[in-house]
Amino acid sequence: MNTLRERLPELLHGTGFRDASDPVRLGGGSSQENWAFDAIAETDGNRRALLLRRAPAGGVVDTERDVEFGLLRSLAGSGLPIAAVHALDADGSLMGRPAMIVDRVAGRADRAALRDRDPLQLGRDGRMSLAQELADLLGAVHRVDPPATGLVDVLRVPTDPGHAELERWTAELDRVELEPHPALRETIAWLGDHVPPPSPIRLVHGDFRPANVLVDGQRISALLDWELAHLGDAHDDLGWYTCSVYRAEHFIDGRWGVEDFLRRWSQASGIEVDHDRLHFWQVMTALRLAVIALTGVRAFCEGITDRPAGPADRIERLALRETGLLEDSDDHTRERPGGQR
Amino acid sequence: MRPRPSEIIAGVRTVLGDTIAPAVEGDHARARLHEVRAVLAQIDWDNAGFQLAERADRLGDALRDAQSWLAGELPPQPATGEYAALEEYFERLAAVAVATLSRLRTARRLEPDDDAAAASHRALLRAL
Repeated sequence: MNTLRERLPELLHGTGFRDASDPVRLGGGSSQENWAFDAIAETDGNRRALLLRRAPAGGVVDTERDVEFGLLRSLAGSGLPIAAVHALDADGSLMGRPAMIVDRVAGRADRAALRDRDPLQLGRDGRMSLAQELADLLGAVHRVDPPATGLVDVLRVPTDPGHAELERWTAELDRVELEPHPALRETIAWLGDHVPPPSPIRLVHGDFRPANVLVDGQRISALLDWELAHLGDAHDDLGWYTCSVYRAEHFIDGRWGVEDFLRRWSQASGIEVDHDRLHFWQVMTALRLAVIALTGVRAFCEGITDRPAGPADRIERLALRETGLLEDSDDHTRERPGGQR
Repeated sequence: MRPRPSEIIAGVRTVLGDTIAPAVEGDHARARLHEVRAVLAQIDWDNAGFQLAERADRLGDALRDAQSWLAGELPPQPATGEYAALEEYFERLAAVAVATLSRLRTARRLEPDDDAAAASHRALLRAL
C-alpha cells in the first residue's frame, strides 16, 4: 500500500488532479484490485472520488490494461453510463502491476439485485424497473457504432467471432488445466460443430450482469468491469446473460423471464434474436465460466492468489449440460435454450 | 471418529464467522474471509474420498462398456486406499475418457445410425 501511496502522485501527474488521499482497498472485484481514494481537481478545487484499478497477482482474467483504457476513452461520448478514465500505467512500471485511474461513481452493485431478498432495497417495482433497464442498457451497448467511436482502432476486429472465441478459450483451458477435463473437451467439440456464421460486428461487454452495474437510487449509474469487452457477436452478451448458470440471479421468478428480457433487448438494440446462435453463446458462456473457475483453482493451488477456490466440477457439468448432449432424462431441471422448460 | 471432518470444518467456520470476522478490518480482508468460509462449506468433507471413488468407478465402468471405441488402456485400480493414489487413478481414467469421447464423436459422425456408438457416447457423458 505504501508503494501505491507514494507513486499515486506520479501517475496522477498531468491529469488535473493533486493531493491524493491514502488508497483503501475495496472488497469487490473478482479480476481486479480496486483501491478507493480522493484527489483535488485542479479545475475547480473540489475533492473528487477516484478509483485505482490494478491487475492482481494471479488474476482470473488476463486483460491488457491499455486496451481497456482505450476502450473506455473511446466510449466517453457514447452516452453509455461508464466511469471516466484519467490515467494509465499500462506496463505496471509505476504501480507494480498494470493499473488505471477512473472516476469512482456513486452507487452500489450486488449480484443479487433482482432477487427477492432485495439487497439494494429497490422494492418490488424497483427491481422490475432495474430488470428492464438492464435489457435497455445492453441494447444500447449493442447500438454503439464501432467504426464511428474509434473502437475498431482499439479492439481487434474478428472476422469470425465464434471461432475466435472458441480458439481463445480452448487455449486458455490448455494453459490452466491441472488434470484432464473430459466434460469441457466434449463441450468444446460441441461448440466446434455449432459455430454460427459471422454476424455484423458489435461491441460486446463480455461480463454483462447485475453484479456489474452500479445502482444509485433506482437507476443504473455505471456499467462496470469492461475487462472482457471485445468486438464480436451481440448474441455473445445475450448468451452470457441468459446462460443457465446465472438464471436465478438475472430474472425475477414469475415476473421477468428469459423471453421478456430477449424481447426488450431486441426492441432496444434493433436486432432479432436468433435462438440457435443464442444457444451457441450460452454454451460458450458456460465453458468460459468453467475455464475462469479453473484459472482460479490453478492460481490457488500455486499459492499466487489470496482468493480461495474449491473444485470446479459443478460448473464443468453445467457446461456439458448446456449443450443439450445429456438427455432430458439425465436432468429434469434444465431449461431449454431461449427459456422454454 | 469424532470430531468428524465435517464437524471440524463447521466449528472452524463458526469461529471464523463469530470470533474472527468482527475483528477483521478492511473490505478486502472481510471479502476474503467470506470466501474462505464459503469454500469450506462447499465440500462434503466426510465423503470427499468416497465420492471420488464412486466417480472413478462410474467412469471406469462406462469406459469398459465403450470397449469398441476405447482409446488407450485403462489404468489399474490403485493399490492403496490413499486419496492421492485414487486421484491419480481418476485422472488417468479422465485422460482415456477424453480420447475415447473423441473416437465416439468421429464414429457417430461417420455412422449417424450406429445405435451402439450413440448409447456408449451418452453413457460415457453421463458418467462424467
